[in-house]
Amino acid sequence: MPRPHTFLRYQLNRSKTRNLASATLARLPTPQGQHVDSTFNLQRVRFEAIDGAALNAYRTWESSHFSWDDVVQWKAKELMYFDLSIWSDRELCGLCFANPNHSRKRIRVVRLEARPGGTHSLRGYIAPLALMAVEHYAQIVGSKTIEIQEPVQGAVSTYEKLGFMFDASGRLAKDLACTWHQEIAQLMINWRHYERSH
Amino acid sequence: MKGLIDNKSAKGKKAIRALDRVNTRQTVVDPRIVRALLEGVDEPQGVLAGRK
Repeated sequence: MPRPHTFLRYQLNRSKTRNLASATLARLPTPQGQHVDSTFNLQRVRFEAIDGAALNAYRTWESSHFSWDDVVQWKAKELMYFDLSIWSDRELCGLCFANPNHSRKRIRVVRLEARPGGTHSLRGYIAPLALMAVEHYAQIVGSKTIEIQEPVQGAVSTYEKLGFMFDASGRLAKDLACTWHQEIAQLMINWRHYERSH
Repeated sequence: MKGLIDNKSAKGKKAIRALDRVNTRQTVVDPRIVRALLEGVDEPQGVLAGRK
């Protein structure tokens, strides 16, 4: 009798990704940018799945563009999806759903939405927070490219600042196998050699 | 998690190796994203991407 699939591996990958994203934030110094008000604190940011708590919080959003309840069905249908809810303490500030294609070479950000109204605590940080987590996930599952599905016109310049470009087929995408990636990997290897030899 | 897996059987050993691979995998973040996390970006309110 065939063993039922639990998809434990995929759950582990998602959980690991959220932990890595939190660890990345913990390593960052305190931000000192123009957009930051005194209440902003990266240490308050939490990465969670789009679970019951996230959906309950989403339902309190006024004039949300998407129906994030759809995600429940998508999660039942897809294997390797990546779902992310971005919280600042107990305030839900953003939701993201991404999905690799069958070959896993390309991962597509299917939806990305910040809390409407622009009054939430992480205004100006939802795109980098979500894409940082998606980038971790892409590396874990072995994807080479991240693609943004139907980016909002006003957000294109934001994506471009984060390394995305329109490719020949008109898709807004980012190649993870680019030069900076290889350079950092080489630096890490060199550093390990240096540590061993001293 | 590993404590729940039977480490005597071949399948269990294979599962533990798979877990170790996930746990030790190195990932890096694009410096442009790190900078955006430190400084913030001008992003529109609400929707950033996606199909309704």
